[in-house]
Amino acid sequence: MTEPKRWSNPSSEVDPVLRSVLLYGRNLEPTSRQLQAILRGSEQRRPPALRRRFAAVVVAAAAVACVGVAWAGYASGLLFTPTPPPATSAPSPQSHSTIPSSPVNRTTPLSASPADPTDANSETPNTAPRPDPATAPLSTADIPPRPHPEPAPATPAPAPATLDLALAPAAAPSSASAPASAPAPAPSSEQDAALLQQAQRFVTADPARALTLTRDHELHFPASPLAEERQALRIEALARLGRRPEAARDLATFDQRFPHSIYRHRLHALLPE
Amino acid sequence: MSPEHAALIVEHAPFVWRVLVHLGVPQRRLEDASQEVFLVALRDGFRGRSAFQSFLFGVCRNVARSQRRRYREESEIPMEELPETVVQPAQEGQLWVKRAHEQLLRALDGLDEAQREVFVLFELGELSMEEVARATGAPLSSCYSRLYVAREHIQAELRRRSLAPSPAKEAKS
Repeated sequence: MTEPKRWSNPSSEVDPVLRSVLLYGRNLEPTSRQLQAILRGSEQRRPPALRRRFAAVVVAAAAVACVGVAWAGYASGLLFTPTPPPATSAPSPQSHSTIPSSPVNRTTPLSASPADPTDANSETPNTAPRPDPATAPLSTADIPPRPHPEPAPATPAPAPATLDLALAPAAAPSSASAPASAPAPAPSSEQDAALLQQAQRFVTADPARALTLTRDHELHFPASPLAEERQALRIEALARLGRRPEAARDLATFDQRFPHSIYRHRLHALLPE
Repeated sequence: MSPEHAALIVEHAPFVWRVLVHLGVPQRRLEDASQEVFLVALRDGFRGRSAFQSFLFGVCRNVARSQRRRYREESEIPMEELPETVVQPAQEGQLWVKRAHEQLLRALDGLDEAQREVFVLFELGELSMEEVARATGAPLSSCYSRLYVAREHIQAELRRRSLAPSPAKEAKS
């Protein structure tokens, strides 16, 4: 039996209107915000709906506990003493109502392929491209660390253990000892990096999608500390799409904006004069 | 969560999303349903499977069934009949495609589950027919006939909704 032609295939005989509808359906995917929610939810060990109910109950319990502690402190005349509250006091509501962060590990290299259980499906466009050395997309894992912001200072910053794009340089990593009441950054640097990671994954196999993702990133994170990486990915995607004039124009702007960028050499190699 | 798991979720989330949409999970439930899929996938052995998308599809199918059941039971949104006609592409661009896609979803609702699964996996999940057979657990020949029936139904249904031109109209033009 021969494999039938997919309707989305331009050479199939299906009506073009139907084809464009199928193409629309085939390109549906979660937005970056939704993807982050999926990542967060998948980290939990209980179903999402249950988790929310659980969070609501914990928030209510914590609020009651706070009131109780305050009342007890007031009653014993300790309320206005300068001593900080004990570490074992009831946690603030935020610490429970906030979904635990860092679903995307900050040390995930942008260019790293996951341990790949999908060998059998690697020919489908949904799977990550397996970059060959000659056409490997921009990778930050094999390049020296670069301090932010531009321009580079005379003395380089101490090299991190791993250099990757997911390590948003300007964003201080959240530590477990951070105050629970600290406001959650919105949108977070994790979302910022995750979206670019996604663009990076597609830049070889599906540069059009990578380009869309970089645009999406620009919309959501106009002042991102990863703007340089975003622009580099955008230029690479344009080059791979054969849109050389645009790529060259963007590269000229890139050169001016990031004269010390570690990506310049590679981008110029992709776009020879 | 390990970086490998996060990367796998990022990689496969579009496939899961697409499959769930076209298996009839309502828009507002897609996030929860996707989370459920990956929770189960993580629990049941996320790694080391040779046919990972087939495995993932099996999870999607179960989650979609339970989501549809909950959706029907709760009746959160009344089942509205969408307008029978849609405006043409030149008039409203992307909005037109979005509306037309809603019509496609309605047409998919009219298929039986087995036909729908084959159509969704082949046309929208972009699996090969052999992979479709593996994912659905049906013989390859049955998958071919299901795809054929599903295509006929979709074309007829969209024609009825004035989305695709009828053969007669095509002949005239």
